[in-house]
Amino acid sequence: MRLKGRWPQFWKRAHNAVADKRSQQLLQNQGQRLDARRKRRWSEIQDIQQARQQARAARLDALRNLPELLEMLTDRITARGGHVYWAEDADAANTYILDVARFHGVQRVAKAKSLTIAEIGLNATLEAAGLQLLETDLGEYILQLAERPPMHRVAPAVPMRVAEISWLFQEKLGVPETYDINLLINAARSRIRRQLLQADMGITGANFAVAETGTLVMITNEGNGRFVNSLPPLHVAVVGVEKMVRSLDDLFLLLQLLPRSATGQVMTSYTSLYNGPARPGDADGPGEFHLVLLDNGRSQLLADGYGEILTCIGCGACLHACPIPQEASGKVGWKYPGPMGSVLIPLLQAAESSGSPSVSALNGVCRDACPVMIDLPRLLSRLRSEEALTRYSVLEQFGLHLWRDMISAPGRFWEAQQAGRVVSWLLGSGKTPSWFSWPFSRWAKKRRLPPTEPESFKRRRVEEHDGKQEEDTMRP
Amino acid sequence: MRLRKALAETVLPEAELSAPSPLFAAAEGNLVLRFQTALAALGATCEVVENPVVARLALMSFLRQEKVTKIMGWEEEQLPISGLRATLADLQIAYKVPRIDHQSGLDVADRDLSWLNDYPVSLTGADAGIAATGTIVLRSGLGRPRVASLVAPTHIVLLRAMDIWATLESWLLALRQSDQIDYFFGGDVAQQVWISGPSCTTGIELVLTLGMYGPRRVHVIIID
Repeated sequence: MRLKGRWPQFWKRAHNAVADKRSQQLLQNQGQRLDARRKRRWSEIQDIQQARQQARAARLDALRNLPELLEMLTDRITARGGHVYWAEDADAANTYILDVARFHGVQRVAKAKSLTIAEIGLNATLEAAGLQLLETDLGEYILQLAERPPMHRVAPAVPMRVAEISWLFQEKLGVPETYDINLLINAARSRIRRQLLQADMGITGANFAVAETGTLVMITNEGNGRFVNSLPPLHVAVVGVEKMVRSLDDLFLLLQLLPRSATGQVMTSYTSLYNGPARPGDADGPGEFHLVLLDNGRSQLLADGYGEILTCIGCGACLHACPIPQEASGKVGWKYPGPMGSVLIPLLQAAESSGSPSVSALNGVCRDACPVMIDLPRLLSRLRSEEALTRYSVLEQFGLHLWRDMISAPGRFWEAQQAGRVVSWLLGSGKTPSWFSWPFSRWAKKRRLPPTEPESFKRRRVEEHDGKQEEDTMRP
Repeated sequence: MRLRKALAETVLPEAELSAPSPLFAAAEGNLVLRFQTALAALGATCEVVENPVVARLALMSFLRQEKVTKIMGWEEEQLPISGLRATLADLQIAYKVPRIDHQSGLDVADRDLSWLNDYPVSLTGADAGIAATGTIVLRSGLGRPRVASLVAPTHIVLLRAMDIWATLESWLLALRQSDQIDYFFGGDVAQQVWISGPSCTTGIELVLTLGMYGPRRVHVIIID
């Protein structure tokens, strides 16, 4: 398996992200608040562990039977007059959507927030084709104006302060200076709504797709998703194949775990369940409906043994629980942030992808926070070892092999300790080895060699043990 | 085909499918009261009335207070009250059932829906209420425009008390037992929406603001 992404770019972005203390603070506050809310909501469920087990079993069952469930969904959608397109990759999905838009003479496209749409880079494709694209999620709209990538899964513009947004609205929308959040939201709302009412095509994702009834499910709080899938004459839904669930029972369970784990809400304000174009006689709704089922590397991911990550329901609980992504991942430009993104990004052929399984504390809190109990530490550890094979230089790999060989045999480990003691004595313990030449000089610049203990830990333990035994035998 | 091949090659963790168990312990007390409590927690308002006639009066009282001159909503036969249009006419309140027809052709070049912004209040019925979550279920369809629960700043919902269920699971179980799954999820219903409180956003500095796109006020009249 080959990990994808541009490694040096990732490190550069990560350094920048860590240096941005203000954003870190906002992201950290957001994460801690949402994690606390999740814990409170989970405590309301009478047996949360059983509910998580059930949810996990439902997601894994759907994954095992994915081909059959996808066929059921396709049959039901097409029977209701919808069109279903199976897209092998991002290019195929983008080309299909652009063809549909061109066929109908679409000029204005309204879009609801979706990580799957971000994954395929649809925005760039539509804008390059000269279409007007309107982000309808408030956070995404702000970021579109600011020409910045999303920084958080649940609240994309959370690191931006109100003063910054006020200045942005002044410059881009001509809104008078104000720090009143209600006024800023009113200004955004009136502009977005006006454009929403003129949109020719609406593009959404879906949180789940139910095989039993052929239903797609989308949850939002703002209501923009409902506007986008109800008002324009043309509706396109882009859905990753892993979103399938078998039955309504599974859906109802997951729909109650998702908002509780994501934002600490009992339910999101709007849960839209849709299944194709408006029916004859309906008062409104799109006249044409297209479902794009996206693979884009998911089959390969399954074949490579990483299928468990596809059971993710996209709540972001792992992101809120893990201390590292709160501070960094939102700013490194990942489409899928947090520990699940640390697994998914290097595996998917995502546009502008760059990521690292190293961006996780690997302390297990992500697994404990996951409502479907994804064993993220296991997946991350496996990716890290694969990363060592594919990304590290020959010298680094040689060093790691040497280290492994040394620590796996007690005799060799003891010999290495003795050699280290001699080297340490020669260099001078506790001092900076100033005479190191390049490339070691860079490494040695900020480091001091720790003083070497006169005796090894093992030897000390043996002596302590022997001494204790001696004391015991002398007792009356 | 690639998916089948991938599944044949891979090993997924084992997890035993068990019969669904309820998420919440069976709650005691009046369903309507619990529904009201859940609605209040979501920031919605609610009143309980005895019968459809009183519901109509309560509705008129609400509209008079709001001083509206026009509202939009579902066709009268889709609502659990009668005599609506005549009463509204007496109060000189115009009533419109919006219709946005995209089925006669996808003419995307010439559409003006800005008139939707002119309605301060909308009126719909509801197919079910969920007491545990304060959720209202609305099916779209003939005489049931989606925009009626979406565009106006205030959304009034008429809900029969007999349509309130304790939890989502108990509602689903009832649908299965009465063979009504198709009525809600079948081929005749293009969309249904579950509404749990007003439209909201925390998009700027995590400050909760109501009424981002959808209604900032949801008022439920429960007909007991």
